[in-house]
Amino acid sequence: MDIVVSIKSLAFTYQNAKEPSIRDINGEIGDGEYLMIMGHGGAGKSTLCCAMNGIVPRFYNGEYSGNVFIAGKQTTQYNPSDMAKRVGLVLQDFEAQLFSTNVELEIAFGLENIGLPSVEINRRIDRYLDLIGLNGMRKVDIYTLSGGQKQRLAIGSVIAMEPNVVVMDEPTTDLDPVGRQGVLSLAGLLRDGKRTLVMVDNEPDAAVGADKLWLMKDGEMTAQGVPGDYLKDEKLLVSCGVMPLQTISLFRRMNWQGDPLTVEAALELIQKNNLVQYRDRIIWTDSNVFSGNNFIIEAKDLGYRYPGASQDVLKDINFGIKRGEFVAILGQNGSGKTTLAKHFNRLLKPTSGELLVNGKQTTQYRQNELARLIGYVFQNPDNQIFASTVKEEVGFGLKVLGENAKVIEKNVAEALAVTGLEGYENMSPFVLSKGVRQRVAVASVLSVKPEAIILDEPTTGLDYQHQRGSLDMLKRLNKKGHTVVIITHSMWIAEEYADRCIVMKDGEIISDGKTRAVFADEDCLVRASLVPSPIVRLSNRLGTKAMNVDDMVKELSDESIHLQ
Amino acid sequence: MRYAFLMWNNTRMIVLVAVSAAIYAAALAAFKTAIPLIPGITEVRVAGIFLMTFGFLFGPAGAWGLGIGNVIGDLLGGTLGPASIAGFFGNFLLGYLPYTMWLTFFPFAETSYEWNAKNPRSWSAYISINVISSFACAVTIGLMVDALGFVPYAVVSRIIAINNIIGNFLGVILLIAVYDVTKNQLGLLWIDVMRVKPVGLSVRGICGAWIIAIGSIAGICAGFIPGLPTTAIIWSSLMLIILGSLIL
Amino acid sequence: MNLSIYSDDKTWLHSLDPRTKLFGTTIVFIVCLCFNHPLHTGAIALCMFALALSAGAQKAIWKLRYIILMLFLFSAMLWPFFTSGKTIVWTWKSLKLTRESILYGLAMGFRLSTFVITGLILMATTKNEEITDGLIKMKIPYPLAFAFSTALRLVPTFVKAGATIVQAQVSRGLDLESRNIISRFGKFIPLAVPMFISAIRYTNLLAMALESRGFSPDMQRTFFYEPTMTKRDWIILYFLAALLFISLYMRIILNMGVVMPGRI
Repeated sequence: MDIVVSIKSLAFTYQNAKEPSIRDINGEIGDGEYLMIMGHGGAGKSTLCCAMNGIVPRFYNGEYSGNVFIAGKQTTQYNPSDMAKRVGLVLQDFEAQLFSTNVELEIAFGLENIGLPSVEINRRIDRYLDLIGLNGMRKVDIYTLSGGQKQRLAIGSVIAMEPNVVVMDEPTTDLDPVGRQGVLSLAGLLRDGKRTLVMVDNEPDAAVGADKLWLMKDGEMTAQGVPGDYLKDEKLLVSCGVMPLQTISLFRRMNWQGDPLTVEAALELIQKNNLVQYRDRIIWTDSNVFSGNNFIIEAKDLGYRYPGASQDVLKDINFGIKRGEFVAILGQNGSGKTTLAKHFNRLLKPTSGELLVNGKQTTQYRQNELARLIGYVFQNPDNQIFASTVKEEVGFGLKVLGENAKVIEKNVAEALAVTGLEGYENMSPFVLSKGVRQRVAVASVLSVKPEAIILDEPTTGLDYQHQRGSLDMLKRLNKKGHTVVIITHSMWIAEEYADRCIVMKDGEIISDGKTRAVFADEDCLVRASLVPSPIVRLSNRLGTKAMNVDDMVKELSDESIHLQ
Repeated sequence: MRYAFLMWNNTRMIVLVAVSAAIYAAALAAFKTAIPLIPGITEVRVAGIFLMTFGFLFGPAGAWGLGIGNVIGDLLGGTLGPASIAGFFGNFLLGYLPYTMWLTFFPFAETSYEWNAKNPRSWSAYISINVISSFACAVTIGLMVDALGFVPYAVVSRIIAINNIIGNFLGVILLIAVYDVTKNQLGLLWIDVMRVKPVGLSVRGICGAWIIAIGSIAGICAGFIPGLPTTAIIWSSLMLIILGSLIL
Repeated sequence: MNLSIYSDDKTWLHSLDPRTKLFGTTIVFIVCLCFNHPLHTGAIALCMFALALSAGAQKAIWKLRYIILMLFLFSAMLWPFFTSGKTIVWTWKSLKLTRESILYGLAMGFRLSTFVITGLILMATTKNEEITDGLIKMKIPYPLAFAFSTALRLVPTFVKAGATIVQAQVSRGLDLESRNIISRFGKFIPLAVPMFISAIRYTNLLAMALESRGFSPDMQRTFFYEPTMTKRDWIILYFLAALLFISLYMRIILNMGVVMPGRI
């Protein structure tokens, strides 16, 4: 097999950084291989990707040593347009990669840049739109595409340049489960087409189909080899900030033989070795989530239509969230989750029906009264951070609400303590990592001490450890009496943390109940294009109650004691 | 003037032009109809707080960005026309002068190409350039708009000058907030992106800066003092501003 | 927020080559500048209004009716006080109004309305990318045209980001509803800083994606869409050129359509 990419003792330190971002990286990628790179946030994955197509060191000032060879030639010797024909780079943010107004022009853009004639461009548009599943959409306005379609288009327009290697840096992070699936199956097609593919992703299921896996930690390479070998190693994965496969964790903890990477494999092993006594499927009767009157947030026949739109984005919404609940709102992008949540603090006002906070319509509150009752953390912390110190940022809400300096001081200190940000008080929030910025955003909402806190996608872009860290923090807040509502795509987070789930599809609630009950009805979830995590699927098949590995182990161990 | 053309060989500078133009146009469009002063000509420019920040941080990319952003603002607001050309040049100057005069406008100039809120030199450079660039823009746009028959010079030049000065004064808060992250985190200070050393104090630079300063101040004053050959003075002011800009 | 003035239609003006429309608009602007007599500029305004109707631009004009009206009133009222003519009709202390300056004010009112209407016709019948295509074909350097079109594409993105930022800060208690201009300026900072930072973070990504697509300022580029000039485009351009020539001839040689000789 020919070697396409060869990396030799590569190291890079960004200008003004104390530590090198990557160091002592060695590795080779063969022609037609599918390589997966995983690692925690800040492990140097993106820097490595950028080094493969020469953006490091061409763009970024810093200290560079070692070599990267693409097809036998050093990256530093290529000029950008030659490099584009060798290495195609796909980024996480699909919006930043699209430059044209319609689909065919987008594919054409790169081809025009390398000077291909119109006839050839036309031929490639046909071929690659077919591959990415957008055929028949040549003239469609890019603005109208879904996130998943946009990312596939971005990939397509890079592949259309027919580079030797395609490097994708977290291409699915900003997508919902359906969009993610689309991109992953496209990656599968590319692999079958014997294209060299490098992909960064932090969900272990994506690695299952890869030929090779590189694990990175603190800028160094910790493991290189066949994915199956390392995906079995729970400790290694966790130390690299990757969520271990639940099936593996279960088998290890139960001392069962075998390394099932998928639910199907696990079930097969369980059946073959007769590991578990199958039980009757539990019929989950909905405990009365709707009764009572202690609602902090309540929607009655709520409907919403954007000004000038012809269709309602929310239809006939009815529910009540009780004080102290931990609720997850689930659904695909465009299902109306965020639109609904924005009603909770009157960022939007219902066009029909009503939304009550503590029994009073939101429209009857003044905005600053609502800001004290309902805290809302936006998906991207950068949408709100502006102050020069963390302390000032966190105290901003209190300041505009007219609190005195003493109260501000006290509440800020408390909020920083809860979010684990002590010691950051006088730092500039801009220099912090994404995960810490996310916590600053949460702290700045918490400092006002709202009764309920709404978080839109609080874990996007964070690695496993930071996701856990954030959620554990929310759980603590919840225990202290705050009502917590999260909007999320991440199934395991809903399963492990939420008491209750609301599932939305096309602007309607299609399921609402205790989390276990909602996740028992897989058909309903499938309608919302959601798939429970492996452990819950397993649990549903086996007829157990557990929703995470710990509980499952406990439940099955109890049973084996009974059997004995 | 050299870097204003050289920058088109740098991909990131080109992107910076697009990004700053888009921010400026978005802010202009969002506040266009909020508080109009002369409908279709000028309004209270909330977007003014971006002017010197773009000009200083992104250098030539900021200058082109402001010029193009203003044209796009006209295009989206429905007022694209001959006056857009005036708007382009005037706004270009608002971005062009901050980076070209930062080290050359002796004795007010800074000694190094950086912003340091604790250093009075940074403040003297900022404030003096604020006034000069606002005046230069007002003279340029005012004269062209007057000649085209839009609004009399005496009216429009003052509004533009005051508008820009206020915007720049408030804009310093923005600059203070974003300087460090733009320079050190994102590495997007223009001298780092283009990997150049800006020209320090030179006779040529000082001459250029002062020619512009004299032209701008004379042009604005001509509108105030009666009995002077106003038109002739303003036209010579514009010539001085153009000459100075070419020298810098 | 609907940012586009383009009306999705198929009138004869929509189907013209963007170059024809760009040149045409420029010629109309120059013709407007040839005369400063209200009869002449008024006639041009009327013609352009008729053209606007045939181009389906009335919706855009209606959208800007307030601006057009105010522009007209402003210049009709301001100019008489800032210009002077021979025939005095009214004096008060040092103020004096002349017949010529009043007519000039009216002429300017018509001229400005024509500018806006003409610009609107262009924008209502030409997509943004067509304008960019046209500019490229007119030998504007590609990087400049690219920056222009990318900026156009980014505006809605940033307006949307701006709206999210406003919501995020309002959620934290920022009160944007006060009417005081000065305090509004101050409140703009918690909005402007996140706007600036998130947009600038975007810059590096955009540049990386660009290079990954083979963009380089000095590249030799081909074009997938090639706008072609039809016979009709040429006829219109010849007609407009003739119009321009006649107008210049009338103004410079015949000195027609002038009330204020010293001014354009």
